[in-house]
Amino acid sequence: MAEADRAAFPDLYQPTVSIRPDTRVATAGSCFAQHIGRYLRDAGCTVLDAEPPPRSMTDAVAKRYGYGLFSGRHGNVYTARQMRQLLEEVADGQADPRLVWDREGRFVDALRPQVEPEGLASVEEVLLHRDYHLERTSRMLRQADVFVFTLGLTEAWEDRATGRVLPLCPGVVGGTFDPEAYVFRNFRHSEILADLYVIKALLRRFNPAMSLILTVSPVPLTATATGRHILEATSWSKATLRGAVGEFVEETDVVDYFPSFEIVTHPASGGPWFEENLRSVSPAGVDKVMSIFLRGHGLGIDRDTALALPPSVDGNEDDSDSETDLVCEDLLLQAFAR
Amino acid sequence: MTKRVCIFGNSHVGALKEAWTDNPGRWPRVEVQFVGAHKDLLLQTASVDGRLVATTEAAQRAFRTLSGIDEVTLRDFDALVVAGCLVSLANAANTYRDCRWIGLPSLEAATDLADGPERLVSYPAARDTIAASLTTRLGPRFAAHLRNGTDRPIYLTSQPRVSALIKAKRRVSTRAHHVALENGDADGLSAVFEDAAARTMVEHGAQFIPQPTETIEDGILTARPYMDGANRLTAGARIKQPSDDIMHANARYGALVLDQIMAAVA
Repeated sequence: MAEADRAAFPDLYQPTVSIRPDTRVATAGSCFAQHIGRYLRDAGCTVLDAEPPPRSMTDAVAKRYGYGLFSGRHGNVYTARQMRQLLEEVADGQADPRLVWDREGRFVDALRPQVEPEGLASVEEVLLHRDYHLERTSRMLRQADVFVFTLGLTEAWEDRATGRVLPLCPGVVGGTFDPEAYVFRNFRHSEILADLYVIKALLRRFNPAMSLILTVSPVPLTATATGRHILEATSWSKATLRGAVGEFVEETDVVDYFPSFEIVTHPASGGPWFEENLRSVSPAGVDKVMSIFLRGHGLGIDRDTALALPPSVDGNEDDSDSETDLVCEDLLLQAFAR
Repeated sequence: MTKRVCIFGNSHVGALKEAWTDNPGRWPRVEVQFVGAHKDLLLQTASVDGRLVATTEAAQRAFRTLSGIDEVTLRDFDALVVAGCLVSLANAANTYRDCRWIGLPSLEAATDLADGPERLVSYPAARDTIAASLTTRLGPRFAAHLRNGTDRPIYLTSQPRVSALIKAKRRVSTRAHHVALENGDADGLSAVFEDAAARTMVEHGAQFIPQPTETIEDGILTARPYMDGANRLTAGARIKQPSDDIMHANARYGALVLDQIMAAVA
């Protein structure tokens, strides 16, 4: 191992799933998944976006409102169960009015509480936006050739009444924590494995030819509701995810595993690849991970072209006067750390 | 007690200056200093010991030619006003080009929102998009620039909406205006602009003064009696704006804005 090419790991990622510039790619997952879409775009690939921001929206506003982070404006999807339930809801097309939270007189979508930082004026408005989100996501998925899903956590809070797992603990950015209404879940290997099979089947309902690439986020937990030490909880969570994904990929066609977790965390990969907070992956670490991903697909980034891309805000035609940081809800998870 | 007000502006300050000249005695116990400068020359200045001084020859020339001054002693004034300076409804119209939000009649009437072509966004997202656009404009930038050199109240008056003249002939540059008028969305567009502008100016240490209500037609236009016959911002002689100018208001409009300013500083 010590003598291997630790900069490039040329044999580490040899995907069977092909991504070319004209391949329509959809991304989802935990906050680390945002890098995948960004790098693929920079490499000239076709990354789908179900709800692109208005052309006049600046990057800062777009990020604040959850645009352009993933292929759907659903915010972070941390667990396989959350992904599965989102796909089921997209397929069904019916938003559940029970999953709207009150936040100081405003209302937020409990399933993506961060995308509207001020909340909306009424439950009806939240549901209308969610219906729109579901329909746009459905249309996007029907176009997707490849779906890249980054699994982040095994821990989640489940709404007892609906059975839906939530991206954030109730009470953090909306709602009220009520132990009678919400139950903590720490998904087991078998549950994750079963969810992955369902995810693949659901994706193929949208497009029977869709391929799947899975990866496990190298970002450690910042908090755990298990009562264990965070070190142990992180290892437990990542090992469970890695094991389930490994078994799923072994037993399934047209699914690849991309080892982002290993590239960042394995001692043989050099590093350290974490920032001073020992949690965020450093830009150099992200670059290392994504260069291996792109090289595996025969892709690369022309830095000059990437830098020369026009800003997202186009010319102000109606102006009659004519003259790396990611959105990571994990940080909020600290709020329910025990 | 006499109030002293300094009114800065780009070409749109011309209407206010002309109104001041044409209406002697209308605003008693007020002294006004107008400081006009074209384009972004107002930003080519610096605050030095409570004085606003030009830092480029072009800005210095504008100060002397248009206002007969070399610098502005900010502490000599009770209030400072920034007129127009691209804080216009065009910023909102630009956002309206490809998105809609709850409350707009056209959205309420839509049968399939996901079919587009316009995108559904929340009102806060639309408002913040417009505010971000306004933040890049001369008015807020200059207000913040002034705020660094003075603790006096700063007001920014809205640039006039485009002339109702556009109703007679569609223009590419105002296509979103036409769509909003046809869709019945003009009042909603007007409201989000005023909300965004007010918030933007607070963030820049100033207070927004919206366009006088009586000058507004159909929510997003300025009635022709307040636009026709507008003159250019010049050192002296009155030179008409081109007959197809849809952006600049006349002295009648300027007088109403001066009324607003005087009410604010009183």
